Amino acid sequence: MSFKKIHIVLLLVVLLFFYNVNSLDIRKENKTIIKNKIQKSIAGSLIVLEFLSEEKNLQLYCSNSYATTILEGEYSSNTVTFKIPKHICEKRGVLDWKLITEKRILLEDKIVIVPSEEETIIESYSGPPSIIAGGIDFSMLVVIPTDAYDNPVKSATEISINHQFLNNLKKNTVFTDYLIGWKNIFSYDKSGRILINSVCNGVSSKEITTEVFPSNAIDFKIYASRIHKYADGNQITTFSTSIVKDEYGNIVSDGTHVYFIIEKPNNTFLKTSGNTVNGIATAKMIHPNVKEEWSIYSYITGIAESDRINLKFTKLFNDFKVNFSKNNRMISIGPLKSFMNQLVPDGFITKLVLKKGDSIIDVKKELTIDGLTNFKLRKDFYENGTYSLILETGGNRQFFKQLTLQD
Amino acid sequence: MNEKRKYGLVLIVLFVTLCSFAISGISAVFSYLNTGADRTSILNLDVESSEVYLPKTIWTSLENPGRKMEEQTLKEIQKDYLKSWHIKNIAYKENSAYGIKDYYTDSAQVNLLNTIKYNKKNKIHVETTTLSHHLKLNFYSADGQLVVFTDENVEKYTQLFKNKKKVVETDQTASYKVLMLLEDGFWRIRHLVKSAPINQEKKVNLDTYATTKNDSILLNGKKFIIKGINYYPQKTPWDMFGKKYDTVAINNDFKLISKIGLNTIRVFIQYADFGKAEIIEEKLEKLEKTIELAQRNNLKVVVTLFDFYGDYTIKDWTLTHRHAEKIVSTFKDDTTIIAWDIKNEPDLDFESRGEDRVLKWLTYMIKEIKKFDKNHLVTIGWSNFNAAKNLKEAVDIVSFHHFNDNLENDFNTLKNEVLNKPILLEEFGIPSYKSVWNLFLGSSKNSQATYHKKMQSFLSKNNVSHLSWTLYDFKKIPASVAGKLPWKRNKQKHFGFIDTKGKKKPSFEYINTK
Repeated sequence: MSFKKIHIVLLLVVLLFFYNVNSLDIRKENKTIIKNKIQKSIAGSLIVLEFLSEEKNLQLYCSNSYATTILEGEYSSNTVTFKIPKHICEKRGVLDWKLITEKRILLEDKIVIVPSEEETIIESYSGPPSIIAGGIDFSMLVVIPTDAYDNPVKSATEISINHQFLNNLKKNTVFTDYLIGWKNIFSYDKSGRILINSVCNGVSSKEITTEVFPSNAIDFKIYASRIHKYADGNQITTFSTSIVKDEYGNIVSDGTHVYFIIEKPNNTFLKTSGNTVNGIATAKMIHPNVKEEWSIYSYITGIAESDRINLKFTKLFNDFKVNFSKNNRMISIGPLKSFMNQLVPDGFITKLVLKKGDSIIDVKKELTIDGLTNFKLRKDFYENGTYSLILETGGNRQFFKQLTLQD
Repeated sequence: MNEKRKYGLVLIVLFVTLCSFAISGISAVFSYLNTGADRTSILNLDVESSEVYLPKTIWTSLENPGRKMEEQTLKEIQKDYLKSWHIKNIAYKENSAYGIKDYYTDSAQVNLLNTIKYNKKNKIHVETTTLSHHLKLNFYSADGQLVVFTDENVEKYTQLFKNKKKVVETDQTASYKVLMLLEDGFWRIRHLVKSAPINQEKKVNLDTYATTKNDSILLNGKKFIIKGINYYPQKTPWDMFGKKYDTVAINNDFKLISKIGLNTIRVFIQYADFGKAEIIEEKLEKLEKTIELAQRNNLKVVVTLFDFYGDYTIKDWTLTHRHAEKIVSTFKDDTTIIAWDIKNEPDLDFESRGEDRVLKWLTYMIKEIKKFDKNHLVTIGWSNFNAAKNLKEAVDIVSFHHFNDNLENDFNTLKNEVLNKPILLEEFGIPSYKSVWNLFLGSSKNSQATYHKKMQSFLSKNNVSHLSWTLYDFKKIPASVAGKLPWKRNKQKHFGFIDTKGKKKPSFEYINTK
């Protein structure tokens, strides 16, 4: 008997349980509804979601572009209210929400938050900051207009991009796409500065400057100027370029480096260089001290080169005096006279080559002072005996085949 | 006098002990002070960085009206973009702003800081990972300083905690428009705009190799009953793909297994051994070779992944996903492999790592593997029939291990739970081990044979797919497998059908149904 009772009680409990579970399910499905269905909102305006529900412990999960969080509701009678936090209401993009209780999701939906139109702030980037004249090179302006809450404005917003160059003032209209608006600003034939600004929703950006530099130089001419044509080893010849310009007639940027190459006889070279100022580069080279012919050309590395010019230098004198003393151990040259019979400038090179038989014993170089040079052949170095001697200066040469050195 | 001597002795011993303690103490302090920074640290050499976040990322298009994208820049953008997600995930988990200034511009940081502030105040923290990114370049500026791209259908998994209790977990797909700026060498997020996901065409897969129908496994549409064995080479148990990898030995073993009428082997891939997120090619080649040898001997293979893996944290997900991707996509067209066994006995980690954490990791790993390989089945090697009820809907084959007597009962219980899925008895066996530890309880070689005879008769009668444990007795068992206790370790050595000397035990006769 008692067994039976227990069975009945158990059965009842089980039945009750199932009934409850069933009714619970029905209640959930039926009784939680959203009171104010919001599908779209404007950034910055507060969003409040209201639900009719008899559930307790409701929470609202929400997730937007940046944030993910969970909110607690405010209950009044059978309405639950969720106030979406300000930082979430302010961001453009999809806001997903899910109404949950005890890890179960009761309702879910999304709200599209569109950018506000209250205020526009323009962020613009332009690059590169300097371009080359000629209409091939360009600088790109990218404009990111945002609303008051730092959201990119809605797509296809109109932006006018203006730029000024010399007498040109141009206006272009672009529309935002993929969060930005952009325009390529091409250079003109002239060098100078392009000033750029952009306007969106009546708000103007600050001015951006793009420098237009002259294009690559084209071939140019060179000139040489000198005090006289004599190879005196003292005066300086100045080389200069013509005004170096690009193909559009713009003078190349100051500081363009120009090399001058001087080709001498025997395949030897001299090199000098200078930077342009107002298109002209100058460089200098000291005169040779022997008769020579120079062929000069110039170039800007990898870009442009000049024509060739030739320069001739003539001898200062055709002969020179030599005087031997102190048993031939003191050799004096000079006085050397220049083209007007003046003494050669101090520092004129003279050279002595001392030979014994076929072998060279020594080569000495001395510089003139007051037109004179002395070579001393000391006995400590050069034993008594017969030598041969060559003396050279200003491209002239004298041989002494039998020179006896004694104490 | 005697008393005095005793005292003296005690005092001397005490003195010596104290002295030795003092000396060892001082020397410990001294050696501590002597250990300093490595000398090379003076050189400030580059810190070797390893990848920490590797969701599947592909660029679907690089067409854009601006500048042509350079390969190198693309890599940098991708790296910094993924890091921006990683840093954000960490920031929301810890509610700390650490590192965000490197990946978000000043104005964009505000959005993160607001969220951190709000969540911290309300004691909320969020654990998130993204699983895939499909990037489409929209714009790259002429000066190479600004880029806009769309990240389509980002799969994002989130767990949200309040007061350290999990409130909700979600799985969401959304697209993002992203604007990044190059600032002092970092690509930083300037704008991020979330939008609804974009509809994708679903590819229909034709001619799947391995499928299931009701409770049967089908290979190329033909019913297949797994009759096989868990395999480790005798000389290298738990180190199959190591330095001593020996194709000759493996080939001979496979020949033997095939000769006695078995049709399948189960092999194990260790997560760390195979190089974690960046798979070591050499290991993969050895695996390929092994599969090839199996195929040559008419054997099918069940490959167990993630052996000895035990992290499961959300932070680690993308790294394990790349590991799995590399392996399964290598073999996606292979017709020797039947199934990927995701993890061996993951239920043993429930206690130490948390059941929820382990199950979530498994759930998403199954999804990830299915993404890259639709040709093979997926299973999980649960340690017992009860645990096998977990994720029974997600796997293709329900697998369990069984190491005691009442198989019939346990099998039928499980069978009633999973009516429409094939069941695989993935490990079973008994050691033929007798020693002082288990003099009365242990089984002898003969009782091992009796056990297998009984098992085989049940299995063949009910057509149960099965893999026995294991071919060989082993001389050495790594401590990581069975622990250090000798009675456990020694037991593990004697599960084989062939002993360490290569002699067949009585049980060998019942390795397969006659």
